[in-house]
Amino acid sequence: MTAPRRCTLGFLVALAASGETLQFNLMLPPVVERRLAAVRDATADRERTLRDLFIEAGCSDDKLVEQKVKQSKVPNVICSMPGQIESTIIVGAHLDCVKAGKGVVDNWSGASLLPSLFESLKATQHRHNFVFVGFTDEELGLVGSRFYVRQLKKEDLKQISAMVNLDSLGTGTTKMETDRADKRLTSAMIGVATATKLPLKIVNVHQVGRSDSDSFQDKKVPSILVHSLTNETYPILHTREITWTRSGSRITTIPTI
Amino acid sequence: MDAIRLTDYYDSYHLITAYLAYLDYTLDSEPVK
Repeated sequence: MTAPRRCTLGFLVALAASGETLQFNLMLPPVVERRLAAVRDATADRERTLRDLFIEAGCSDDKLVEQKVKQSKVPNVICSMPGQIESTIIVGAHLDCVKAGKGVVDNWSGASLLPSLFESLKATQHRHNFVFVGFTDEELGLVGSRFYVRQLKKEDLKQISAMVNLDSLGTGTTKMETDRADKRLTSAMIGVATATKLPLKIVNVHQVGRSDSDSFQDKKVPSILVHSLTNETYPILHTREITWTRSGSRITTIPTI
Repeated sequence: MDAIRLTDYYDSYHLITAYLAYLDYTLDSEPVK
């Protein structure tokens, strides 16, 4: 196993009057790529593989839960990382795919990143509780995320400060949606992209379909969708199943991304 | 796998990690338990 890189967000160092630094670890590319290459075809196999990758990343038994989901044969996979304050950041990605292809982009690219994100953040001090969730059956109507949100108590729902949803990464540079996203979350993303000099564009895909962040937005939880799609790369998804049309330069009438 | 551009994918991972660290630093101001 190669050692992670430690990074510092310099602009925050400058901003923090106390001289605090903000640090996080980055897994090296071979680790991230190996997890991406571990994709399986069947949803049940993907769920087991994601669970195994969480264990490999150090999410121990008592912090790793398979949540049975009504109306689904495959559970949600939940890895929790306790923090110091009573506030939670949820990082989610759906683990299922449509039958038309292997679903590497949509959405093993997001699901397989969750263990690496967990591993990146666990090594440094953090304030919030982080909950990493691989949602089941997004493609069948946001089944896993809707169940997850519905089973939360009102006070647990209020405790969620942010939901960051990853769906279909890697077809190009990072994109975020602003249509339904929380403005504070999108502003923060722009700030971080500027500080790290990493590419980021705004591409609104909400008009073409729904993703798991919608389940949280419907409950007024501040949420953001991070993806990589454009009109040019969208046809990669759902290759044999979706009839997609264009209205001007916009993609329309597609159920989920 | 051919549809994934690994450099862009890793950049997304890098950006999202930094973003989560930033949100952890900036969101909420509740006192420590």
